[in-house]
Amino acid sequence: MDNDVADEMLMGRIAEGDRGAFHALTRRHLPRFLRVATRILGNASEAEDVAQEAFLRVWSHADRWDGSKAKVTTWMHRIVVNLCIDRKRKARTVPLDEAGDPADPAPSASDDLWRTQMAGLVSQAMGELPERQRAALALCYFEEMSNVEAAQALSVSVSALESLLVRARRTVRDRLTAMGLKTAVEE
Amino acid sequence: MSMERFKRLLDAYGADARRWPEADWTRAQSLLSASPEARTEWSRAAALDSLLDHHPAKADDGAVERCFDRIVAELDRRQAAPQASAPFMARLAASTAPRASFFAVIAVLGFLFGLSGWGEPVSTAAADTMSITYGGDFGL
Repeated sequence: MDNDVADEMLMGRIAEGDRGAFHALTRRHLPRFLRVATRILGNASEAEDVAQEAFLRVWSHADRWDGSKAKVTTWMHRIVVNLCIDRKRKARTVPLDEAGDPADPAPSASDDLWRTQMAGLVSQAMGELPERQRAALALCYFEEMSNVEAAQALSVSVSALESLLVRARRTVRDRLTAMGLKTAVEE
Repeated sequence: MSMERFKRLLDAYGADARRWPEADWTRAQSLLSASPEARTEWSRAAALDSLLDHHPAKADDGAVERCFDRIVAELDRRQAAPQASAPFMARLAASTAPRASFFAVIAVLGFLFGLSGWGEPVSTAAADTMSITYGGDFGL
């Protein structure tokens, strides 16, 4: 499948049952949605479950996507975010700091150790956020989606998205300050 | 742009212009150049940004490949299974059967009554009798 084929074109083919188009769309976007799910859920294994279910829904509900209302990726983000939020609401048990080792593969030098420790603290602070705030941060901050797209993915207004982001960042800042990182945060 | 709005946008989007709505960032520039307080707030937001950048979430290639294989396998499994619509049709038939039976009985009864002549228009005399009888119930 041609990598240059637009998402919209692939969606049309998927709605007609084209497995090749589905594989192409999945290959293209799976890393991103796996990453988003991992940030929201804080657990790599659960994120894989969510990503799997999300793409299977894309396959089975492709005919429901309306290009006049949302980009393909925005629609897919909404599926992933909703699945993540549903999952967190059903089982509020896995804090982020138990999600496994950070991605840094070689924490041998002191800098690496410091980065690993920082990653743990930030993960812990993020993990204590309500799921919608964490989703807002994941989309706007880490995925660098526009505020309009992120609001669509979360099914909220831009103003409501900003409120989620404000609460999220303030909470994380307060938590990190409480962990002793005040000098790094405050001027 | 007011300082209040500037602080809210900083709190929401952080200090990196790439995350800001473009028009708002343009308006914020004049405030940043004119206000020491705005620059202090911007520095605080940048410090938090630098901490958030430590958040790990990169999915490794192994996880991506594993997940892709799972998706394909699950799709194969679902497509190999009996059509999902079959149970739905069975449920639909079960839920509509009683109502369908009821309407069928009504239709047959209606047809039979029609054949028997029951319900044909009554004569004027009979209608008068009926109305007198009916009025008698009210002491007329």
